[in-house]
Amino acid sequence: MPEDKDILEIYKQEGKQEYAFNLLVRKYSERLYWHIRKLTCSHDDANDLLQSTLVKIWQNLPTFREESKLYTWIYRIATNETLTFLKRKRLSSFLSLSDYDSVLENKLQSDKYFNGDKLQLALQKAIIKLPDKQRAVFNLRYFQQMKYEDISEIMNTSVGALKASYHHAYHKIKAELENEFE
Amino acid sequence: MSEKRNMNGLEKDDILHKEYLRENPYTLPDNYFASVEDAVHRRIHKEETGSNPVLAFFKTSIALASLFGIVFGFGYGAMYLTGTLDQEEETVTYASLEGDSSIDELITKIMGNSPIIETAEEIEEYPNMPDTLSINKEQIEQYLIDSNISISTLASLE
Repeated sequence: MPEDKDILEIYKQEGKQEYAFNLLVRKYSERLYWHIRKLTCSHDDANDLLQSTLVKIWQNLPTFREESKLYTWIYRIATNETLTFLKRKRLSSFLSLSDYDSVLENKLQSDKYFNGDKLQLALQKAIIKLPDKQRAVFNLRYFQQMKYEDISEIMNTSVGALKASYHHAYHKIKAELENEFE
Repeated sequence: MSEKRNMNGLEKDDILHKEYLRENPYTLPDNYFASVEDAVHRRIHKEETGSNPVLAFFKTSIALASLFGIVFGFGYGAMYLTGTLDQEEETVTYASLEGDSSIDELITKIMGNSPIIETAEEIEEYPNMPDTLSINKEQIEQYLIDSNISISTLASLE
């Protein structure tokens, strides 16, 4: 798979924009999908959000000024799309007097594509209870083992604040799992 | 204590340190990622052809007109069902009469050209009135006696 800088070089060549974009799609689709999927707990929502993220990447690539890494820029678009989607869902749940955390938990439990054991299910349920932004931080650090500096570029938050947020989330989840399994 | 800590400063026997917990517990429909590229290109094409500003303007106008129609329709329907529609028309008629007429003109409009007679003198002024209006005192007394009207009622008429 070509490096990001090579893809950007191809993109700058006359008539090669679509080819360069296809390279990006092939390189990042899977990673972005799992990032979105863990936040939405639904394949259908993740599929829809992945497509809208990739469309936004295509639309905004001409204005990408290389001030940040291409991959953090791509993740930022995906994260913002997903957080906006969750915010909208939470608002509509609030207006219909239901709790969106419960909706996510039900989605998780009835998901035919969830293949984990009891502990993995409990972990996902504990993650759902965190605020959406903190969930994104926890997932990027815990599952993707991303550097705080990169998460900082994605979330537009200082490294110090991210570390505090991650550790707070970590201990909250740990306490919940220990309470259930020990 | 320091032996029990790893590079993240977290305890080694921590439940979240089970390596398999970091593995992905989700699965996917078969060949999903093979279809993503085509789906994205279809969506881009759809967005680019569907983003005509003139079309977008008319879409908004049609949506607003439809919304107005629905609101007006609901209002009219509710008034029709509750019967307030007729009352309101009546009110409007009287209101328009009041708006451009004095009380006398209003009465004239309602009664037509028929005179309103209040005193015996006025009866004389209208010799063409029908005979039913020229009733004498004896006839009235006889009518009251025939009707079995009580003394107290008669007293109140006085």
